[in-house]
Amino acid sequence: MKLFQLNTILALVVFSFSGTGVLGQETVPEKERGLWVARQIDQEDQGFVNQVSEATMTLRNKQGQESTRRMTIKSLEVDGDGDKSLTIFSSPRDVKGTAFLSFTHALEPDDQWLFLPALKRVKRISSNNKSGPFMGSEFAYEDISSQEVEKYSYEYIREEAVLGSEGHVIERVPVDPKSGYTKQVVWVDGANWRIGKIEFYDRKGEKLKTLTFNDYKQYPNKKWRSNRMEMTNHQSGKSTQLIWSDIKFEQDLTERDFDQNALKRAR
Amino acid sequence: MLTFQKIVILCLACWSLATTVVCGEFSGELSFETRGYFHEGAHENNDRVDLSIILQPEYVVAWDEDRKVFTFEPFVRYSSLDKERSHVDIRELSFLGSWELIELRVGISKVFWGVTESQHLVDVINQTDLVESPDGEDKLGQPMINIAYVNEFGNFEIFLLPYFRERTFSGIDGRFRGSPVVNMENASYLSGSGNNHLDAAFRWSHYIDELDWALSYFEGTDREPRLYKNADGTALEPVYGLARQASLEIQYTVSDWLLKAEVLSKHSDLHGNYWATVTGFEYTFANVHRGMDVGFLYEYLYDDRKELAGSGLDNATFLGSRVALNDENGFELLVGSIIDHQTGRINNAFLESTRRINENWKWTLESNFLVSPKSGSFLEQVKRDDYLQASLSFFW
Repeated sequence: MKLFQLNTILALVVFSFSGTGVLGQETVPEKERGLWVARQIDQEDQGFVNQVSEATMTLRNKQGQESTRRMTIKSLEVDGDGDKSLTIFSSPRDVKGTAFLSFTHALEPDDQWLFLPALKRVKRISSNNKSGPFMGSEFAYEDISSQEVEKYSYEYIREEAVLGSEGHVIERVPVDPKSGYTKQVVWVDGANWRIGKIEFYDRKGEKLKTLTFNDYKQYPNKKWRSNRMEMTNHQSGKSTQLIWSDIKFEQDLTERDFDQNALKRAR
Repeated sequence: MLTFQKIVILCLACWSLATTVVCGEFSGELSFETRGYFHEGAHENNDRVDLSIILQPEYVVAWDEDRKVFTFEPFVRYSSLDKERSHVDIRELSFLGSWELIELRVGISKVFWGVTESQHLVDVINQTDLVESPDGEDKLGQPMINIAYVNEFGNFEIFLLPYFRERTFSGIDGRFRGSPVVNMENASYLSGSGNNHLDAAFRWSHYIDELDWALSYFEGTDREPRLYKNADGTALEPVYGLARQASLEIQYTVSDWLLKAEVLSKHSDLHGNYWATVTGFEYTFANVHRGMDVGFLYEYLYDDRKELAGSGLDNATFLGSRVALNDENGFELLVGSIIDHQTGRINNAFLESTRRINENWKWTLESNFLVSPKSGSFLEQVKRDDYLQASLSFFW
């Protein structure tokens, strides 16, 4: 990731001048405090190397009817660029074997390919449709794609307790005009830099959705992951629960497990 | 002599060896399909209803982080209308393995080449299973050895295709046939080695930013036979020649646009030397209302054999529209038509729509209307074969 090097340089510079050794909160000018929080979240997540997990989405409509989607998601941290990810669907059964490969970039459009098992066809698709629903759920593509710091501009709102510790509330505005949101309000815990809640505001500026991050668990590599996310759409009354299981880090995965050949082999 | 049966037995033996070691996953699809024709056929193929059952199970064994995969996927269709359409195939019986810079595929498999939607011009590895659908998108399993070398300059692939699969054709009671009927039993080859000619292909595919491309070369048995009347004129007999072809596929993906082109240059024993292209675009209005996408497709089809191409697609425009609701049931609709430039008329128009019922069930509607096919083209011979088809599929 680009930001890693930037932060390292920044930290070194601050270190040599302040002599405190830590980029302390006190040294951050008020104007840049929102960005500083975003960087802490990003930096906290650096070094996960790769991650493999099972995800189950339960879609619930206004009448309470449910449907399920199951997928395996593999992601790979890339030096100097956004993450790569491979999503393989196993349910609903008619889309079983469909696989989605995405190379995230901070400011350039993401590169995305879809594998259609019936035709054994790999299709390059446009990553422009960020605001569209992911598999009919309340998650938009932009909600589940890799969150690069450069994708937003930030503003600090207030201090507030989040996930049981002192925390921060920041506002972030998507840089991409194709985003479905005018802004997002993000609650972050100041101890471990975990996101507790995000509120999404639509293009009309009205509150659209709330995403809460529950059941955080710390893994052997010290990374925190929420194992249950709840997205509620306030306008449609629909909601989607996203349960993560079997989260594994630092698996034997390379860039070759995230190319178009891997897409064809995906099961 | 290599026969398809021997290849199947060999692959099955390897596959059963592998599956004794690792446990696999069994899934599949069972479909009930009703196709109703609006008219009696033009060639005394007068029955108007075709009821089919299609079974396509799949058994997959994957290990080493999905870098090694064994797949077995047989296919069976029973058709009430046409005994030639009732058929069995092995779509996939293969091992696919990945090592650092190498990908290896051995066995019966399917490979797709191409970027366009209205016609798959450059897609040459697998034979068309024409009785499945007149659009030619269904393919027969092809025995192959496929080795890819992967580096920062893209994918470099070699295909060795040791056994040739013959195209399927409708029988006497079937639709989408001309007159007289094709007798598949009497297929013949110009090459002395018949269906055991070793066909080969080379392919380089790569991408840079928004641009994806592939250059391919194929030399071997022409997938497209020529049909000749037999001595007493009661049947058509397929003759397969040899062909060499070079092709280019290119797609530029920029914001809501997909700009696409396929170009083919072919030197064929039986079809002469010619070039052809499908060039066009797809534009999507994304998330126009509650997640709905509306796309428009335009493709220009050209074949420099002109009328001799016989397809009626030698100078034509494809116009289509795709609607995806992106709702929990995954509703999708695709409508399209092919307009001939010479006659200025609609050759044919089609519709495909699908919606999930629940986790395991899904329905599909399909229709094809041969509005005013160009005279002398194959489509003219089947112009009474307009149909509406409904199918219900169970996936497990």
